[in-house]
Amino acid sequence: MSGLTRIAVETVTHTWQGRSGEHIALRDVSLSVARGEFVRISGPSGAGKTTLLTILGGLTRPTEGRVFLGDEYAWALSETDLAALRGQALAFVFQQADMVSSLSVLDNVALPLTLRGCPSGGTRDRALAALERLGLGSRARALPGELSGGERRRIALARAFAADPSFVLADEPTGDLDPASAAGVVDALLALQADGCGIVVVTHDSALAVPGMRHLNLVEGRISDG
Amino acid sequence: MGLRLLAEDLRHHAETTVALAVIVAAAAALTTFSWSVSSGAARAFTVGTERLGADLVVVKAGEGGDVRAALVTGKPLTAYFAEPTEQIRGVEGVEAATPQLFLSSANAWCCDEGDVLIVGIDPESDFVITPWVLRGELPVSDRIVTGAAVKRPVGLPLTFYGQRRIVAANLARTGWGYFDRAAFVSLAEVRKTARESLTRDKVVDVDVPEGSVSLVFVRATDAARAAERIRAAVPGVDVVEIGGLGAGLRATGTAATRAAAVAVVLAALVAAALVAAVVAGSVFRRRRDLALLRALGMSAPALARTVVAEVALVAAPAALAGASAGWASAALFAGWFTYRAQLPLLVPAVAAGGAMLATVTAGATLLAAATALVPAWRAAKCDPYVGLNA
Repeated sequence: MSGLTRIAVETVTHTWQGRSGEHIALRDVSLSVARGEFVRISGPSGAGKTTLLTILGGLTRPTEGRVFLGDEYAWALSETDLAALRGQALAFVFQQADMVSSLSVLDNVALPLTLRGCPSGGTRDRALAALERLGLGSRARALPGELSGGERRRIALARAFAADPSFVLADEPTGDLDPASAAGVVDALLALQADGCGIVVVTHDSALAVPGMRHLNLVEGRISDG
Repeated sequence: MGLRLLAEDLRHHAETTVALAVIVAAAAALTTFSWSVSSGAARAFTVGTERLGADLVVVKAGEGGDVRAALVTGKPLTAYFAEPTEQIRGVEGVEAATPQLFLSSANAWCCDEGDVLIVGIDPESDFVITPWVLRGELPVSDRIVTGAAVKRPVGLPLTFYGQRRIVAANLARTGWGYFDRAAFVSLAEVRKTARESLTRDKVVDVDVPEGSVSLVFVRATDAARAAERIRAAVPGVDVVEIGGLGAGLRATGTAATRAAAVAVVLAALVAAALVAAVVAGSVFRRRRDLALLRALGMSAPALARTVVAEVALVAAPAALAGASAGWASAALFAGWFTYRAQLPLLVPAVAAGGAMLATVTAGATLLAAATALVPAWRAAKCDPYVGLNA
């Protein structure tokens, strides 16, 4: 496991240019998440939740403000170093639970390890173990197009298990799922937290609540404690 | 990035893989074909003129225009005329003169060897074939020397006008019909064959006046002056300078080379544009996959390298296949160039051809990879979040 102890944004503002002019997605937002913590960020559509998540994970460069991955100021790193740090320490569960369409489930789960240059035998063993942990061992050879929405989300979480990250950043991980599938996803997130991961979830789902969770509200790009 | 991802990408995006392969193979094929024709024409010109060793050709008056076709395609000169060799030898500036008599085997018996140019040479004075064979292989009696296109191994018989001859030597390929399609026989034997054709059953009569020839090859110290003197001294003949013939061939070769160069440049430009378009389309269709790879830790340079490596993996075997097809096509169409376009052509053989294939394959692969760099880099620099939400 890599050694990031926190991820943080400091006084981040982010704007983007739309057809009708400039839009402010985030206004002067500061947030720090420690390893082992479970943070839920909720808010209405268009409040800037996903933007905050991608900025926190070093995927999107904010217009203003600073992003820290551990003690490193993310955007002071070279492109290659930032990508490597992201691959080592962070795992993403995107809204569409994206997977590389041409690779099998097993290869998708092994992908973060493959990108780190880990030996192929070991990566596939770890990927298979992660799939089995989430009860998806039988789907290892399937292609992403053959999976249900719930399976895709759990497989994205299995990818996080296999990668052994410091933080998992999940965007609407239970959205559109039936209650049983949503419960499975939450269980997986809790298992990751139990392994020592920091979890940041952005969601509309007010039912997503776990003991000891920190809840933040994001409204019109501003953050407030829930 | 693992080869597995590259291989799976290529397999799952077959339309892109096939399009790239077809574009690169077509460009490589056209390039190799053009290169083979261009270099083959230059090589055949050098080899042919060196082999001929003559400065002038003397033929019957009015037949000078057929000399190029006779030498390049091996079409026989059947306008016979009384042998003027001794007269020519007496002309000032003439170093050597040797007569030749042509027959076409196609006019012969039903079961004879097919389309072979039968050339009667005088072994005593010949300087066209003699330098290229051993003394014991010279055409005397029933011994003959064959060109590369006749395809009859040494020691085996060849029959024409109902008479069996034994192949004593095979000449190397020159790209000139006169050498490659010929069976060189002694002049005395050809005259005897013509005489006997008039009395043998099932053999077409060959009406060759006694003591006549098809042409006389001449070596001279000053070709232009010697030509003038021969015209003045020997009535009823045309004198063709090999230098002038060579200039005509060189002009045809230069035109072929220019056309080949234009074809290669056009092929490269069109292929580059098409490869760029195909790769741009491919990375656009895969933008979510590529964005995910970035999000999971692949750097932009590594992603660009992966896309370029995919293109190179497809381009290299496609270029090799295309180049091989181009080379084979040039060999297949060499006869068309020689016999229809009257351009001697010696398609590069294995060693030179192998080097040409390697060069074209490497060049086409590099061009495809270099062309893919721009769309690959643009895809790699795309914000992963934007890509994932595209």
